[in-house]
Amino acid sequence: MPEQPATNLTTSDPATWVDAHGDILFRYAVKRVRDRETAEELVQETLLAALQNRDSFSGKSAEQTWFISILRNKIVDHIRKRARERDRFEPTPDETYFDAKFAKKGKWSDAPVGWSGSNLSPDELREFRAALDLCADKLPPALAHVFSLRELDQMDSDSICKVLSITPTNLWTRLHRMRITLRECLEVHWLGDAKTTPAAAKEGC
Amino acid sequence: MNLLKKIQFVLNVNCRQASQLLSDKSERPLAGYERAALRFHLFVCGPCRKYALFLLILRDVMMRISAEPNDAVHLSHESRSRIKATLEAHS
Repeated sequence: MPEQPATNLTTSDPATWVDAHGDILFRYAVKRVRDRETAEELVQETLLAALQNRDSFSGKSAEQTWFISILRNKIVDHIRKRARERDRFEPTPDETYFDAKFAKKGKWSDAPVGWSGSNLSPDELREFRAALDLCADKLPPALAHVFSLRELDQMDSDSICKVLSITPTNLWTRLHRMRITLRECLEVHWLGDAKTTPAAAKEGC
Repeated sequence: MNLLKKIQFVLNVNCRQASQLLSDKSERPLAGYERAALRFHLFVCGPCRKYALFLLILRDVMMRISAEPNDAVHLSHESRSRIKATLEAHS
């Protein structure tokens, strides 16, 4: 029988974890919770949990994949807690939010313009990403949570509803709000001057 | 919803409803009359076509972003040392 490659059933030395994986875990967390301090705490909690559960590391996946799966659970827990705290203080915003975004007869108050071709070059992608970071930071918590879970992690609707304890209809409304809010912000911060071309301004429904 | 209501919806759908449908499209299967309403509205409405394009771009970028690491973000030295010390204390 051919010899099996040696599988690593134990973790590496925990003293090396921070240097080997700290930045990767931190980036993962910061992108999702949008706060450096919280992200640092989550990384620490993750590595601590990993240390305490070293025996459960099966070696089937890479060590980093294992850390990330722990971190992912910590992030979802964090969002779940935040969502509960927030809901106690501010009631879920209702449809009136949209009243400011749409004028009479449901027309856009500030119509989308300037968006064209969806094939972004690497340079454009970098700029878009910087603008998106800025705009995502500005989202109110309820929308930031759905942005993180849905757009970044592509989590399905059912799971998100459970995490946030909301109904699907409520989730869809939030996702819609999040998307139109990002659109407005990105038109200013990414499209910038391109937006105000006379040809684009004329177009209407 | 009865047939007459559905036909009315298709003919009268506005930007507010159409943009909600565009967002919902990636969350749930749309009903036949909703798809018809959306198609009809997009045919006549430039701004909503732009919005549909924005949603496509956003989705595309999100896919590419989640695959690529962002190398510019690092753990600070302080937190690095703090986490190391915490791990050491619990070893």
